[in-house]
Amino acid sequence: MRDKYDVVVGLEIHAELKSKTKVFCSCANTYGAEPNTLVCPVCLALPGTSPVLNKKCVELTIKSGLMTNCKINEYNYFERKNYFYPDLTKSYQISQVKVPICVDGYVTLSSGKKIGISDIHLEEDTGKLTHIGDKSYIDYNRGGVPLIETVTKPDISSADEAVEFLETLRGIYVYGDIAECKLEQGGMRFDVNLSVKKKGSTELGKRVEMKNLNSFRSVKRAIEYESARQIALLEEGKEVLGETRKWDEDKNENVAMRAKLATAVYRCFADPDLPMLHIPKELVEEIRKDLPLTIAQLKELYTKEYGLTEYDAGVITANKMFSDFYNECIKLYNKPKELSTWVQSELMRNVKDKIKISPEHFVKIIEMADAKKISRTNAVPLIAEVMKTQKDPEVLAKEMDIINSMDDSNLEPLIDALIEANPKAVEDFKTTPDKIITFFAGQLMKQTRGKANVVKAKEIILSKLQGK
Amino acid sequence: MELNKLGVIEANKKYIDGEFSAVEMVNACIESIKEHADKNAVIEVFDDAICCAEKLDAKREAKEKLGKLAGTVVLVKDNILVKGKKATASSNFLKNFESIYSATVVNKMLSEDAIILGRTNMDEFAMGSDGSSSIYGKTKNAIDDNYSAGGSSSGSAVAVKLNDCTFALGTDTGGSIRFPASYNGVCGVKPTYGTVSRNGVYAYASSFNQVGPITKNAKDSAYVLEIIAGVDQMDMTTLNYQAYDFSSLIGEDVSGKVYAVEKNISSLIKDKECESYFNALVDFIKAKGGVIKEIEIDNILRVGDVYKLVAYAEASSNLSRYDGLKYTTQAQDCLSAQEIYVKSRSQGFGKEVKKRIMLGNYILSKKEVYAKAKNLQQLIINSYNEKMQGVDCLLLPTSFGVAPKASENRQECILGVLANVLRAPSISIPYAKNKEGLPLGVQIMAKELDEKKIYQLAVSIEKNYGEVR
Repeated sequence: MRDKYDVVVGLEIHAELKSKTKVFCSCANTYGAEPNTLVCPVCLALPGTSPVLNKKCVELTIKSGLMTNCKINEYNYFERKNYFYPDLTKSYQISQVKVPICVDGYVTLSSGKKIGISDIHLEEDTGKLTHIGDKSYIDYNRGGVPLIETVTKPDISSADEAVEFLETLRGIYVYGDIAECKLEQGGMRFDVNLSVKKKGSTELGKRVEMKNLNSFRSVKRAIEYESARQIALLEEGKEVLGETRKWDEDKNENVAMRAKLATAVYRCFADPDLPMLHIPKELVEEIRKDLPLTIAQLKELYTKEYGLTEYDAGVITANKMFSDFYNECIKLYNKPKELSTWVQSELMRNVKDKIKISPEHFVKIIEMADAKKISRTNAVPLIAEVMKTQKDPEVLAKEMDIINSMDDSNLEPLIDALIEANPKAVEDFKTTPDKIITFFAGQLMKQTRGKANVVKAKEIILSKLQGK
Repeated sequence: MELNKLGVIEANKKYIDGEFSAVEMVNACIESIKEHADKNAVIEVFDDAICCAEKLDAKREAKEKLGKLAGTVVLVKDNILVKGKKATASSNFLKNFESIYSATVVNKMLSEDAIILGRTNMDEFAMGSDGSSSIYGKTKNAIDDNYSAGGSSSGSAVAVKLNDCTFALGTDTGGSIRFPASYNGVCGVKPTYGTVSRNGVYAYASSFNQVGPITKNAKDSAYVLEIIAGVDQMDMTTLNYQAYDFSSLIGEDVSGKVYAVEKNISSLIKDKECESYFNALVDFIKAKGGVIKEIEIDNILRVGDVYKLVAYAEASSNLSRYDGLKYTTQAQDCLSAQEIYVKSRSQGFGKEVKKRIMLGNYILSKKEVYAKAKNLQQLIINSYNEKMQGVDCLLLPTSFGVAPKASENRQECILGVLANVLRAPSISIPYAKNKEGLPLGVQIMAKELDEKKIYQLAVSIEKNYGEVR
């Protein structure tokens, strides 16, 4: 039944910009502060206040446009969307309606398919309402937080494609330092517009809008549910109503919203408090010059230039924090593959939420291990200690007494003693030589608390055992 | 010496020279306010004014550098915010509102050592032209109680005329400084749009509104305007100038200067008295060597439509922040946010304000009407700029006659809104009196940022015209 229909999906994505301050005042743009502590006369809409545009937010919006192949409107302007709601202090939201900053771009999926972006515009977030029992509480900290709204063309044709698009877009925004896109904090929210049409038909069906979804999973499920609902209606010969439906995450279904709420008239007009925004071409070029690599571009760099495997490149780029760190380290330590192993094992093991070691210190530790000054085993606790104390690794290694101080000539008597004490192992050497060498090396490292040069030690063990 | 009668420049000089103390000055003004209480011009005298005066006197005692407004006392319209003081826009809806910050203009005056004495009566939210929509009641004309005080800056103009202060601030969105200035015989200026910051001033129509001084003479006007003007990072519509020169042409001869009258406006003058006064002034300027030129601005008679469409639309949106939820008064026994909005706003706003909000919302609900009005505004501005090529100033009556009777309403919107729609500067100075002693003002306009040409002519008329009248 489904094969007879095409699903047509367009997305609207709200992402909170990663700016220090709000978009129209100088309050901090920080998540999780005590309610109503990040407010000022402007974002509380006291009498006599007017918006003061944050240039940084404009630059981030331009960046989002350039990274999604958009054109930048040299002249654009802000409008007021008028409606009354308790989370909206001014009773209007400042947004861009007719002429936004970015227009007409696209994002390429892994299949090569391009999803068109009709525009990206800058606007302000509203405050947050909480309802407890019969009381409602308003927190205006979020009021005036900068948002970019990315509007796609109706180019998406399945739930999976929608999710891939969203993942790609999030990657771009996170990698561009444009938005953190923390879904659990509401840092990225979605509206889905969906219609179905007979396969091959050029006539679009009636469009249904689903607002304020807050996870990729709910977008996926909402698209699956709604397309099935519309197809079922059409199959029954019924009509799809162009309406707004609210997605219910718990029930895994959507319900029609009251028509009155859905068909709001915003009485938009150009905000007379904000002059026309002029974006000089030079500014656009300056931002373009400094554009960071996207995930796709980074992966290509890692695999093609650095020779990493697809898998390794994937692990490192999965978290911008690690790829940023890797990129910094590579400037100091030009062995991409080795560095990749170090980052994936020794570093990742030590990191919970933040990398609290500088690339310089990290590379110094790798070089100490390369020079056999410390053993690789001891590198892990050393990294942990540097993270704790921020002290120089070399100083710390001395303090921790893990510097390889064993003179190689001192190893022989120790090895002799070990061989003496383990006749069974000597016996097994004939059948599993590698395992036994590792065993003796391990014992030796234990005795010397890791300070022996393990490569040299293995050589000596091998020659001794072969001589038996 | 009656201190309260001193002008700004005069008071500042005498104060710096040690001729009087700030405490004496404040007391003289407070006495005057008490004496004129029945005029209902001043609605609050700030209780810390004497204390501020004492501090200023101590500063002078300590031989510290004194500001350009030291020794002067200012009253501000009730829609200009002073930190820690009530500012209600003379509305029932905000009758308890106390500001936590000061307007930029207030800070600029304070940093020049002005003493802010109190706030003056006005039409609610500056919507009106006779002061009648204030919760504090109507302000009476300074000269004769039976006549209108004009509006919306009625209290500021009347207070200046009655010497309740050295000068006052008003706001002008469509004549609100110049009408009351004309009716009460004082000098009031609406500066070029973007000259003075609107930060800390209740918004009525953002596109048109400007703060301006109301003073006892034109020279003081230029002096105060230079102090309060300048770019403000809190108001993105301020023009990017740190400092302005409004006074450098004052005292220069007007001979050879070109002054225009507008043909369509002239034909609207019906009042014989008004016409003869105006013609006499034109003759005087000619006699002084000024060149008079008649111009005709395209679509000029439509400025009233542009004004109403734009101002009401913006007002409906600007005033929607007063929703009953936050700092306004709130209707009792409401069961939902929706009910709070409807009841609080219905009870809070007065009739004229409600009318303009409703019209504004209607205008905005019609697609493109607002944008079209803005386009027409630009066309009129373009024509004005073109016709004003080679012209120094445009002369027109401030009103079509002396103040109307308190109960009357005269249609003279066009004279008030013209300068606002054109974004151009305009001053009203008193230049004639009728048999009953009621004053009449003349308006001098110029191209954007050409205030100094206005002041050149205004001071010249002030100084010399009295002799020939």
